[in-house]
Amino acid sequence: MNEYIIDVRGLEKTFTKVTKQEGFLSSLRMLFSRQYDLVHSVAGIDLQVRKGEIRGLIGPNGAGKSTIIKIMSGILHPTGGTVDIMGYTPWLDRERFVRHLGVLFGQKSQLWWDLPPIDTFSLNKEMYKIPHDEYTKRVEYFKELLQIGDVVHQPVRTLSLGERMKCELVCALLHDPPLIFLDEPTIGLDIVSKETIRQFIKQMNRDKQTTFIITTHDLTDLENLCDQVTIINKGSVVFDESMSRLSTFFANRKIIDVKFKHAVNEEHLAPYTIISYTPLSVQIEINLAEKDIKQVVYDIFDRFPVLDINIENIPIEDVIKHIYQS
Amino acid sequence: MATFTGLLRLYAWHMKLNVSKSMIYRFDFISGIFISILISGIAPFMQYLYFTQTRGYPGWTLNQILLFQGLLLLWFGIRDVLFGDIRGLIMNLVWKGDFDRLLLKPYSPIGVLLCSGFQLNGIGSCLAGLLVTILAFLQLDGSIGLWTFPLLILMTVCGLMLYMAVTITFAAIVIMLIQMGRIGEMFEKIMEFGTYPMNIFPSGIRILMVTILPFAVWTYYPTQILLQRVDHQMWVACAFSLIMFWLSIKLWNRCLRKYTSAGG
Repeated sequence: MNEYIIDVRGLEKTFTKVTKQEGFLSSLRMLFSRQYDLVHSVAGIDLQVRKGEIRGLIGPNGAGKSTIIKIMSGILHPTGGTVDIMGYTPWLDRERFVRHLGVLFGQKSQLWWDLPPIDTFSLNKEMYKIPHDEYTKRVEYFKELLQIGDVVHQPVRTLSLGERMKCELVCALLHDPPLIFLDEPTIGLDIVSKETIRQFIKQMNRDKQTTFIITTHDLTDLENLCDQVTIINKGSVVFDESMSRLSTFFANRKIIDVKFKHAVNEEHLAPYTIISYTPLSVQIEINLAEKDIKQVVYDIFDRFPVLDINIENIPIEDVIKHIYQS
Repeated sequence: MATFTGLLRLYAWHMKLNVSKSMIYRFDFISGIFISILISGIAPFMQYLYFTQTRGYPGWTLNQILLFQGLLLLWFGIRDVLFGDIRGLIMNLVWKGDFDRLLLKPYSPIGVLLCSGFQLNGIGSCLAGLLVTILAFLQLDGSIGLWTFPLLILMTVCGLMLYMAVTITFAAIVIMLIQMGRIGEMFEKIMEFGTYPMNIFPSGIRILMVTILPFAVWTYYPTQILLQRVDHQMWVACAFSLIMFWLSIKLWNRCLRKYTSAGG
């Protein structure tokens, strides 16, 4: 028995894409001869996920995240590599496999637009052959957890984006799958709805040991939810470790955030590596391999009218930006 | 077999939800039925004009052609009620990348697609077709034999299989080409051969209409059954309808592997 719920090895996906030059003549030319480019959307990815994990899958736009999710859902056939999810090869055993899988695409809906969500839930009940008692119990559980008691009886077209997303989540989870892919689940939501959805994901993970794979551009999702994070760039894995490792990625670099009692001229700060400056505040980056932080702090206190001082790690956002760019 | 019964149950659920949806927009639903009956009535009237003002169709009397028109309307009605605008739906789904959703269901995506076609609005054509058929049949003093209904049911089943084959073939091509507006039009035009009595065409087309394009099962043979003029070619057309269905499934499975989805 494989110790991983997801075991992906050497995954590759190549698409053929038509390229077109600018202008009308080029459009005419395309009628007779076309220029194709081979795009290696996924270039030999390895990914292992344990049961009960919440894994963040992030990367810049076009990095290949969605393609990986689509291959792991059985939607796309890969060009190469192997995928073993709960003993299934998704694209070969698709019909049986998806019975154990929940998927939410944040930008696509599976709810019937003119009918209340409860009608789509009943369709899913039929589709996944959920016993009636189980179905009732689960709907009640979700209604309470996501605070959508009234919402499920109102036509979808009258619901807010947050309410719709909560109902989409119910659709993805109603058949109680052990594995769930969430593609940008909090996209476009307000802070309160985002928080409710995050709490819900945590609760499901705690109560049922459900494994979640979350792709997101919202770093708060990562910080609040994920144990492990995999960063994809240009179709390859560029980082695959714990969240705590990500937050201490630049362990030998610190940020000193200083607020002054009165204005300080930038020229006086010349010996330091300045990240941002205003006459009343400055952010300085310190490389611990080169400088002793204690000494730097003493020096700042000695030389400047300090009102407040904080020492921080390099923000995750900057770490990720650095990983994307490298 | 389990998949088939599962799909039938799914179809029944889609039907229920579609009826619920239609009931929400009551005015649209009721006006839709009236307009559909009204529009459906135009075709038999045009045939009547054509028949009385010209030499008509060789081998067909006015009442026989009205019977044909009634059955044609009934067929359109059944087809629209059961499958609605699936071809428009598949184009829209594939183009926007929403087809992914069907691949996440625990059934064959083409099965789910065919199950989602129910449209109550087609009931107008069914009612108009049934009325014209009964009236024309009474005018003809036709008689119903022991095999009439079983044969009509067989023709309906074969007709539906053939229509599904056309739809599946269309869907398979959409998967490959993404956008195919005029090809859709071509499908429509080719299917129009089935809206005329087969024996008015030259022999080459007649052979096509019982073999690789066995559209004769839709209206021509049901009319011939009611007129008790059945010939052995009907069985050939039935067999080819099933073969076309089988071939379309093969083509679909082949094309599905090439599905590229849309950007994330």
